[in-house]
Amino acid sequence: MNTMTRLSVLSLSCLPLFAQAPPATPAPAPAPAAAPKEQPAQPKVLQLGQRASGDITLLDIDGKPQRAKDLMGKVTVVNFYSIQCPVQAGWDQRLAAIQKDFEAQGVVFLHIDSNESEIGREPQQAAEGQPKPYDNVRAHLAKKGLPFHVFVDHGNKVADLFGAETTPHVYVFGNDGRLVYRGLVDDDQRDKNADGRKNYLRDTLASLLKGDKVEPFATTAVGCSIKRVESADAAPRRRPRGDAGGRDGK
Amino acid sequence: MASDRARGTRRAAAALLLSAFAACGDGSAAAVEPTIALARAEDVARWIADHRGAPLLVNFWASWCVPCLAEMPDLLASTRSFRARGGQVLGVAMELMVEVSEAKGLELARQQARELGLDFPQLVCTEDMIATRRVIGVELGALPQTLAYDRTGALVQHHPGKATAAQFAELVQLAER
Repeated sequence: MNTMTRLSVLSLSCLPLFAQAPPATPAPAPAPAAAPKEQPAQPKVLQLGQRASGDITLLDIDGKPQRAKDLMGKVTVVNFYSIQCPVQAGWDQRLAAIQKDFEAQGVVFLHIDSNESEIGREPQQAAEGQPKPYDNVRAHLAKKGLPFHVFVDHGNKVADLFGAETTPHVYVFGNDGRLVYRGLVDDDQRDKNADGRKNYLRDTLASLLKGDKVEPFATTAVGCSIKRVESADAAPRRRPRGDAGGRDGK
Repeated sequence: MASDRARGTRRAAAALLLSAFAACGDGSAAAVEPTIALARAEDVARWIADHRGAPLLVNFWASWCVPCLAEMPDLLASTRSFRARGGQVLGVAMELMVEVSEAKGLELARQQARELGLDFPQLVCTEDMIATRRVIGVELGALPQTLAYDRTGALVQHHPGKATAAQFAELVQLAER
């Protein structure tokens, strides 16, 4: 990543959220035959295998800051969360069970709500005589008995830098800070195949804690789209042909 | 087992009915109650395969999905003349959740389809997104998702997320190419 690109990431995030791994020294490029057509800057997102720097302070729903740097050195799970998404709700209890099992072994779980529709546009402040901020989130967690430590991401800056699209959308970092997994909790959305399901999150955490080498990998997350702040220049997303067969589904 | 077979037969019948409905589509179906039925992922794949020969858009949506509902007016408007020319549009509603039964899911989708004035066939998928994408063979992610197939049955475009009217028009163009 060159300096200009790095700066654009930082300005996008307002906070130096993730520093990329040090860039390799670029080989001198041959002079182009013609000036390249200027392309609009694309936001850079954290890639598999890249290291998170931790230069960020997240706010939880009590307004307490948590410096990501303080979590460095620990295996960390980041999940993009929603209190309204029925797909997230389908995974809530299994995610809570995974959290219970692995928190006891030192794994850190952070749940980030980036949905403007749930947390509002601006950060909420605690005020005497007023309900606590993010009371809707707090009430949801209490009602469902969920042990999630939820952070708020106003302006979806963290979601943008992660490239998070859905709730849930799980990211696992090794204790070296590198992103080793991104995607689904497991492949059993409606909890109908306990014996046959692929436990992507649980198995990845178990491997990391055992000290196994985990090759970075991803699955395509499903769920509710993150309700981002409307952006006038949001680029259209498109998947090219060739990611599937024809009408026979082959 | 018997009830599974009966359910499968009902679904197959529903799929046939939908095929017939779609085959007769002439773009003048605006006043017709949207045809809607439960379907397994295999039924959805079969419906798609059975309509080879016509350009086709398949839109995955759900009544709980805000961007899905937001894009529906554009989907309807952008495909009206496409359907009049013989193009097909299929809605696949992903309603079923841990706490939503098949009957409830069907009702939710039916009610929403009515409110939106959807006048193209709807299948309410009884399997989840992960199972469905395995069968369909497309990496479907967060709803909505729209697939464009050409007359040969080849997937020519996969649009993940909410589409604009212009993007639907482009999908139509690609399907008809």
